[in-house]
Amino acid sequence: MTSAWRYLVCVLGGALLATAALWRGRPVSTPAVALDLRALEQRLERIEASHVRLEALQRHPSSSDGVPAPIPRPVGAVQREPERDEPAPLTPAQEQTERETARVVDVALARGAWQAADRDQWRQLAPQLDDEARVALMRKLAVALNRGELRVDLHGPLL
Amino acid sequence: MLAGGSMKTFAFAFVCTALSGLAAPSAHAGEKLNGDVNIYKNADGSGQAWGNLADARNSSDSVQMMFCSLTSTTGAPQVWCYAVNKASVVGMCVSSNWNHISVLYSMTGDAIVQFHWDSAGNCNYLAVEHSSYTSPKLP
Repeated sequence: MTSAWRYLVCVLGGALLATAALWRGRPVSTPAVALDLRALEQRLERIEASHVRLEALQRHPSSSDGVPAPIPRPVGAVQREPERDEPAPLTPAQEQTERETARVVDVALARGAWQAADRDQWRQLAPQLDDEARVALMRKLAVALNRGELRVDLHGPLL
Repeated sequence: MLAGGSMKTFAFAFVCTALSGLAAPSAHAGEKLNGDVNIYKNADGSGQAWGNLADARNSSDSVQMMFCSLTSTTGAPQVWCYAVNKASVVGMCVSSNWNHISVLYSMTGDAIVQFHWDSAGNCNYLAVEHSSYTSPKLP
């Protein structure tokens, strides 16, 4: 390319860039131009939405209705258990266990000390309780411990 | 000012010190922190506890302890955490909050654990941290 051509290309390019800059920088006061810009924006949004849907379909081809399938959880992630129905009524044996465990806690609270024998009894009984009853008793113990109303007189695990 | 002989001795000692510093094994570099189990309680029964599980075990007393557990029979698991400081002050909380359960999944034997509880014994904050500056458990 000769230097004359280079000069020409440079001048023409500069002129084009200047025109483009002027066009972009000018106030959008003409309704036609404003409409065109809005239409372009809407079209761009539609294209982006289609692109997102397409990517989701490529990742999860099992979804056939165009709605992206739920993203699978990573292995090892905590899986939330579905909401449980109303708990089944307690059997007489369960009620008895609940009473016995509550008595262990109450006796310890009255004594003001949680001892190894209490822990041993807890370990026998607590696994037979339903979660709600067990948590309620643990919370009762926690409140007493945190308030200094229950001393821990044992070595090793509390429960 | 130091006299000529003293100056030489000082310079020799300085060089030796500098060289011994350079030759020191780098395996012991890096920040290291040890700490006791900390428990703070408020008048209403709420409070907080934190500490490094390994430091609690490695402490010279036989009192300090930190413990967290997940239990479940048929329903959603429950978290409970328990701590004892060297003055035998105890803190404990219970939670069935799924976010707490998720946090507890990351706990290891040498983790730093922090938990807060409200006046009803419910955990309202649980943090598990791992760092380079804490010690591992000794046997």
